[in-house]
Amino acid sequence: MSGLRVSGLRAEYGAARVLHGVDLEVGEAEIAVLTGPNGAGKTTLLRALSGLVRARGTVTLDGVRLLGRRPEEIARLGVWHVTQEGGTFAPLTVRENLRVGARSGRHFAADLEWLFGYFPVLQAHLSQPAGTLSGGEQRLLAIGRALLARPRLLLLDEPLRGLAPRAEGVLFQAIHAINRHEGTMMIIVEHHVATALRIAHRSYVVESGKIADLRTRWRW
Amino acid sequence: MKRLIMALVLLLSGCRPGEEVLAGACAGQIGTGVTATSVKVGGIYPLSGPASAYAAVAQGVRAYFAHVNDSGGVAGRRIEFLVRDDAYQPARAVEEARRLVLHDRVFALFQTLGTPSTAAVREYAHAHRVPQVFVATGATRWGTDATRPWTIGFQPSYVAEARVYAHFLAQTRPEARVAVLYQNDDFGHDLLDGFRRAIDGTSVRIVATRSYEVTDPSVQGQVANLAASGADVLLDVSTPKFAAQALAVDAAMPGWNPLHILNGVAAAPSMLKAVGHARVQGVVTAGFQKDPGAPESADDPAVGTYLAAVRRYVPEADPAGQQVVYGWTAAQAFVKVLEGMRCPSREALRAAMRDLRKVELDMLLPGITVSTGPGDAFPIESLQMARFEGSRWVPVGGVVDTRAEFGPVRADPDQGG
Amino acid sequence: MFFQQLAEGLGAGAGYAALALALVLAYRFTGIVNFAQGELALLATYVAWQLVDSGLPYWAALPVTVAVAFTAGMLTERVLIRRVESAPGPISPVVATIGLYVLVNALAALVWSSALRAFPSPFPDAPAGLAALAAAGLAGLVLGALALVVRHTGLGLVMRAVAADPRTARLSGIRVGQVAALGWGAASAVGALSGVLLAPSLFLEPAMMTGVLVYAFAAAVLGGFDSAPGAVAGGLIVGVTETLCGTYLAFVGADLKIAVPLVLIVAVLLLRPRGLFGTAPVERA
Repeated sequence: MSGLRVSGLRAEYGAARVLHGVDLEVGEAEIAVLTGPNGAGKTTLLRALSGLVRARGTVTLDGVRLLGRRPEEIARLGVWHVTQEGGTFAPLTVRENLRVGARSGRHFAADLEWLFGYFPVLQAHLSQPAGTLSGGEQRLLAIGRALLARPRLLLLDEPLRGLAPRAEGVLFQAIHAINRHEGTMMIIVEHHVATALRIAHRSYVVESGKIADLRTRWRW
Repeated sequence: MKRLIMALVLLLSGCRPGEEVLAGACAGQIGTGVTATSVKVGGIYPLSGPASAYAAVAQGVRAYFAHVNDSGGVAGRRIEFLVRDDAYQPARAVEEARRLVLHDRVFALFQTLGTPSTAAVREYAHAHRVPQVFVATGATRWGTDATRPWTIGFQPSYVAEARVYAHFLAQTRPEARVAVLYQNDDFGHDLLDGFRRAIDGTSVRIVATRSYEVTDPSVQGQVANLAASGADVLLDVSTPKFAAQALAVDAAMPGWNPLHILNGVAAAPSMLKAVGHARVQGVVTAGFQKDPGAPESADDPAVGTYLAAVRRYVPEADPAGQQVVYGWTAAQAFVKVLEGMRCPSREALRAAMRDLRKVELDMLLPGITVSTGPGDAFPIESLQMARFEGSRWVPVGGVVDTRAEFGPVRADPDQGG
Repeated sequence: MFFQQLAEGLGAGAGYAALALALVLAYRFTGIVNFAQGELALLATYVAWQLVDSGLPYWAALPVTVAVAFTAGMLTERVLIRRVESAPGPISPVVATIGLYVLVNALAALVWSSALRAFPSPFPDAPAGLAALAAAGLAGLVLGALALVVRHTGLGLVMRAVAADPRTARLSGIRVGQVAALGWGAASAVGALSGVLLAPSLFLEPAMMTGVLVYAFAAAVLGGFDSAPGAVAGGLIVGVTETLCGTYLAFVGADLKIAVPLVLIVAVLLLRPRGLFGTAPVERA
C-alpha cells in the first residue's frame, strides 16, 4: 500500500470548481512531473495535497488518508510542499531557516555539509537574514529546507522559475540525489519540461482540472 | 358651558393626557404620583459603572425615607422611593427618567447624580414639567440658570467651595502663592474660575495652573511642574484617582511642602486610605456635613438617630461614609419641602423647594442651614474647613457663609448657565 | 529635578513599553490587534493585589501572577481568538476583542468594586526617582530574558518562524495554533508586568489601564507595529516625552500633552512609514 494514491480529487475556490476529479499515483521512490497550460489546476492540486485548500475525494499516502487534515498535520505525516511564492522566513537567518523543520538535531551538521555541497551559496550567507538574499537564492534556500526535512513526499511548485541556468542543473542534481538515496517520492510542477523529464518516472498532463494524459513510466 | 371652559383651561395649561389634574383649590395643577396615602418619587444613580462608589447616596436616602415612613410618613403619606441605574451615562439617565415619569408615574425625580446625567435629565424634566429636586452635583449652573426652574441643586456649589478656600487663604496665608491642578472639564473649570474670582482683591495669587484629561493615565508630570513654580499652596481640583496620585507625588517630593487643599469631590475616605494616612497629614478640605465617627458626634442625638436608622434599614451601608450622610440629609430636606407644599402638586413642590427659610437639617454642621428664595437658587452655600489629623478630619475655623461674604453667585457666561 | 523627571519618565515608559510589546506579540502571532490587552493586564494586576492582600509576599506574588496571566492569555487565544480568526474581513476579531475589553473591565469592577486601591511598589524604601529607575531596570531584565529565550531556544525559533510566515510554518509541520496560544500567553504575561509596574503610581481601579492602552498603541505604532524592540523603544520614548514635556514645556499644557507623542509618531511615520524598527513590506517587482 505504499506510495501516493489520488482518486476523484475535487476542489473549489469559492464558487469556481478548479479540480474536476483528478486521479493519479506516485509509486515508491518515484518522481512524477505535472505539466500543462497555465490555470489548469496544477498548483491547486499541490495545495489540495498539502492541505492548503479544502478538497474532496480520496488521497492516501502509504495507506494513510490525507484529506481533511490541517496542513501542519499533513506535513508531520511526511508531506513537504514548496510553494511558488515562499518557503523561507525572511527575518530568520539562513541557518535558522534550515533548522526549522529539518530532521533531528543529531544529523543537522552533517546534513548541512551535504547541502552545501550542492548549494554553496547558502553556506556563504549562513548568518544573513533570508530576506536579504536574492530571489534565486531564496528559492534554493526553500528547496534546501525541503531536502533537509527528508520528507516522504516532496511537492515542488515550479522550482526552476527564475533560476539561472547553472543553478537549474545543480538543483536537479540535488533533487535526484535525494530521490535515489532516500527514496523520497516527488511531484514536480514544471514548465521547463525537458529538464524535468530527465529525472521523472512518470509525467501527467493536467488540463482544465483533470488529468489529460499519463505518459509511460520510465525506469531508471 | 362650564365643562367647555374647564376643558379649554386644561388644554391651555398644557396638561398631558394621562396626568392627574387636580380640581378645586389647586385646579389645573398636576398631582400625578400623589395619593391620599402615598407619594412616589424616583431617583437615578450610578449603581454600576465607574462612579458606582457614589451609589451609597441612594442608601442614605432609603434609610431616611424608611425612617419617616415608620413614623407615620409625610402628612400621612408613605414615601415610595424607586431607584434606577444609569451607570453614569446621560443617555441611560434620560431613558430611566422617561420610564419613571411615563411608566411608573412618579410625582417627582429625587435625585439624579453627576453633572452629565443631571444635565441630560434636566432637559427632559423641563419639557415635561417634572420637578428634579436636590440633584447630587455641585455644578453652579443649577443655581444660576433661571430658564430651568424645575431643577434645583442641593450641596454647596463648586464656586461656593472655591470661595471658602479663598476665604481661608486670605485669613491664614494672605500672601499665598497658589499652584492649581485641575481636571480639564466643567467641574475643574467651574471650581478654578470660582477661585479666581474669589481671590480677586486679595493678595493671594495663582502662580501656576496645570490641567489633565480624564483619559490621562497619570498626573505625575503636571504635579512636578507645579512644584517647580515654588508655590506654597496646592489647590487640587481633581477626582479621587488623580487626587490620590497627586497626594502621592506631593508626598514623594521632600523639597516641596505646600499646603495641599483637597476639593470635596476627591476627599473620599477610601482614597485617603489608599494613599496612606501618614502621607496626607495636614491636608485641608471644606465640608458641610457632620462626620458620624467624630468624637463630637458621640453625644449628638441626631447622629444617633442617623446611625440607628442606617443600621436598621440599610445594614449593608457604611454609616461613616459621607455619601450616605449626604443621601440622608438631602432626603430630610426633601421631606421638609413636601411638608411645605400648599397643594399636593408638582407646581406646589417646585414653589416649595424654592422657598426654604433657614431650614435646619440634623446632619448639617451646626450653623449651616438650607435657604432658597427669589434670587437664591442655591440651597446650601456655607462650608467649614477641616484638616486631616491622625485618621480623621478635624474642623478648622468656623462656618463660612459664602453668600454673606461674597454676595450671590453670578452666572459665568463661559459656564453656560 | 530634571534627572528625577527623566527617571520617572523611564519608569512610566517601561510600563507603556511592556503593554506595547504585549500588543505587538499578540499581533505577530495571530494578526489580530487585541484591544483588550490593557484590561487583561488590569485583571492580572488585581490578581496580584489579591495575592499580596491575602498575605503572600510581593516577590512570591509576582511570578504567580505572571503564570496566571500566561494561562489566561493562552485560554483567550484558544477559546475566543481561534474562533474569530478565520471569520471573513478584519471586523470580527476587532469586535471580539472589544467585547472582551468590556467583559473583563466589568468583571474586575464586579469582583473588586470601583474603589481605589494602593498597590505595593517593588522597591518601597527607595526614593521616588530611584524606584522608577529600578522598576524600569526590572522590566528590562524580564524583557531581556524573554528576548534571550526567543532568540536562542528551539521554541523561540519556532515562535519567530510562525510570527514571520504562518503558512510556511504550517507547511513545515509547526502546530501554528499551539504556538499562537503560547504567543498570546507570553503577551498576556508581559501585559501583566506592565500593570504591576504602573499600579503603584497610578493606583489600582477599573479605569487604570485605559489611558495606558492609548499610550501603548502610540508606542507600538511608533516602533512599527510588527517590531518587538520597536515597541519597547516606542514605549520609553512616549513615557519620557509625556513626562518631560508636561513638566518643562510651558506652552504645552495638559491639553497638548498627549499631542506631543502623537506628533512625534506622525513625523516618524511620514519619514519612515514602517516605523522606527518595523519591517518594510516586501514587494514583488
